[in-house]
Amino acid sequence: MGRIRSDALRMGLACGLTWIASAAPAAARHYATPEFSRAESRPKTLAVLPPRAEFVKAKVVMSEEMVKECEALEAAALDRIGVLLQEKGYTVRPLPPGTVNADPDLRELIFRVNERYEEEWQRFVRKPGRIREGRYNLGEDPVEIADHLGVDGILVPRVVAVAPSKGVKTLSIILGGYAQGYVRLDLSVVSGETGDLEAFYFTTVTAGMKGLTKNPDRIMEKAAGSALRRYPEVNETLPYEESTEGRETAEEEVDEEEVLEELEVLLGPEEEKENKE
Amino acid sequence: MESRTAIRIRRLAVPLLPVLFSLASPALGEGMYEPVPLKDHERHLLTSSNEYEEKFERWGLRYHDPEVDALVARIGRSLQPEPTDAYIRYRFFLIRDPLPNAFALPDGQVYVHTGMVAWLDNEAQLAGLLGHEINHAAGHHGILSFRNVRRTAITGMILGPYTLGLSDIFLILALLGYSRDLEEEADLRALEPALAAGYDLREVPELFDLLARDFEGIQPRRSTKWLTHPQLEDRSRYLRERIDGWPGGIEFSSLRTEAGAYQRLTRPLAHLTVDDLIRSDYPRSATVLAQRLVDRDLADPSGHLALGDAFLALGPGEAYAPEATLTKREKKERQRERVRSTREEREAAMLETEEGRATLARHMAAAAEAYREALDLDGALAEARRGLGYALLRLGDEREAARSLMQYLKMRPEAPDRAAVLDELRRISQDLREGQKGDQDGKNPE
Repeated sequence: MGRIRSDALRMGLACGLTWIASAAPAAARHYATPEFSRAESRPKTLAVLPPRAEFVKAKVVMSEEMVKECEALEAAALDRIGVLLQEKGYTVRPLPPGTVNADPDLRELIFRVNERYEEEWQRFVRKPGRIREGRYNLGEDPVEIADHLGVDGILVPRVVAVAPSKGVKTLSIILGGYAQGYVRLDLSVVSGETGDLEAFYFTTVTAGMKGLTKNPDRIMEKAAGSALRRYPEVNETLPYEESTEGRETAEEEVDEEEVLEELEVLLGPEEEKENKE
Repeated sequence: MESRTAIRIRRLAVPLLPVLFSLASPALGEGMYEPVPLKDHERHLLTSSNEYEEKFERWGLRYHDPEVDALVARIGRSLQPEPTDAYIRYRFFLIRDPLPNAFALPDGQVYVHTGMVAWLDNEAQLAGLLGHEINHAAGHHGILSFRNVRRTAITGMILGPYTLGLSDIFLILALLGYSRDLEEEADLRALEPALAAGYDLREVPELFDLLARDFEGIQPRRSTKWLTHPQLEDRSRYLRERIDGWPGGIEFSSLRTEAGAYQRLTRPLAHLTVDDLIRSDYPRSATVLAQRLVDRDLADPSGHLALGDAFLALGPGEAYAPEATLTKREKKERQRERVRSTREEREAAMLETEEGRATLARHMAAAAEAYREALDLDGALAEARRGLGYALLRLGDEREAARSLMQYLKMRPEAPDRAAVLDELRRISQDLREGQKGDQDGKNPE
């Protein structure tokens, strides 16, 4: 490797180490559609999908993923999110992995939603401001889940936990900073009527290795509390500017039988064609 | 194409990958096929590897089909060597992911994507794949690569730069590749056990020919210098050379491929993969795979249904054409576009051109034909009725679309997409009403 590339690599590595190990806790943020803020499209009954957590112990030479410990974080996240939303007046149906895996149809639907979520996440995390435009949609599967469970919407939680080792902390002090462990919690609210991403709440809170491994409940209480601090109460409407163009407003409820009967009349009888098909 | 599993791992590792590639030695040398005792700091990493089995299950990523599970396990067991260490225990799992991939962890877990199983033609190809993965575990490639990267990283640290952490080194190495030498070693060492198990080795290079096809046009060819795997064409070549030059020659007439049984057993999984490819926004791949299903069994209505669904998903996008070649720049641009724009935005952009609209009409006609074929074979196939309705809608034939969709609802009163279908019917009803009103006012003479 040439000298120039080597120097650039050193700089990049030093910056990267500082970044990954010294992440300061950021304030919670959220993005929502105007309709969500006005409680027009905000689901009142929510199914919380099984959270997915990734937990990394950042070391100087090699990090390691704490695979087993993820399970405790996921369970704690699911519990705290459910409790906090219920306190705000929502009807919440948390879905632990055991419940999902016992229902093959539900398991299938959640698999599909997670796949589509990963795809859309790559887009909306780059341009979260465009969530306000109702730009992102997760397809029909959230609608099917909502129908299957009898809810208005679904909430997709994601957790990333990074805990620096003592070696990383020492090095970061040498670099002039202080490495902090942290947990980032992402909560995405998806409409059970349209599959639209209606709101995205996220936060980053500090967390040490001890807390993450010995007391995940307390850490997730802190993270969920921060992420949902500005989540509106169930009937609360928030002031918002006029919605941008291009977003369809909710249709009025129409009688299903009425629609079908009217079409029968409009189409007229065509027995021959039906038999052919 | 990158599998979803790899995407999940890359979220944490992407900024760090250049570190891995730049620090890891590209020429590691041979694996070790005798016992390799673990060092203290490696034991915990191996424990983490063990825990992936449960994590994949908890996340709903494991695919369960008793017959296919048994097939993969049977072939794997016929190829696996006696474990050299207590920490290696070979077991074989399917991961639900539509993109063709497979990986092995140092403790002997071998994962094969459903997308890989769907694309293979026969047991012999699967044997070549499993043999390759087994050799990564048997040769301790993960542990050796880890030691090499760690050693280089520590050396680098002493000399100046500080290294970055990597999220689960074993999983990253497994998914994204060991050194080219170790990959080549795994390819070549897979041949002998496959031959001993009675498989036709000529099928193994075919596997790489298959993987080399870039249906979506989003895999730019990278310089070999930066690759952890040898180029796919090179892998086909050196495998064929090894087979052609086999000491003592090979009597192929006595060897088997087991194509018929394999395709029969894996057909439902292939259908699922078509669906998954469509959902993951890989409609070109879905169309090619669905066409294979139809070609293999013209009398199966579900093959025609899958083809209809694939064409419907393709919309105004171009179909895969083997003769069409995209430049590296064009492929990279396509990759970027997939992240920059949503599916709806890309489709809307294509429909602004006459070419896009003509392509849409062509694909919807192909979809309608496939659905009709399915219904000719099985009139009770409700999903084909729905698909036909949507294809006709996009062709502008609202009346016939409405008939199909209404029949679908009659056949499936509890359809999970009932609300969405009713929405469409309501819109059609409104259009027809306005059309009739226009006729009555004399404004829209036919």
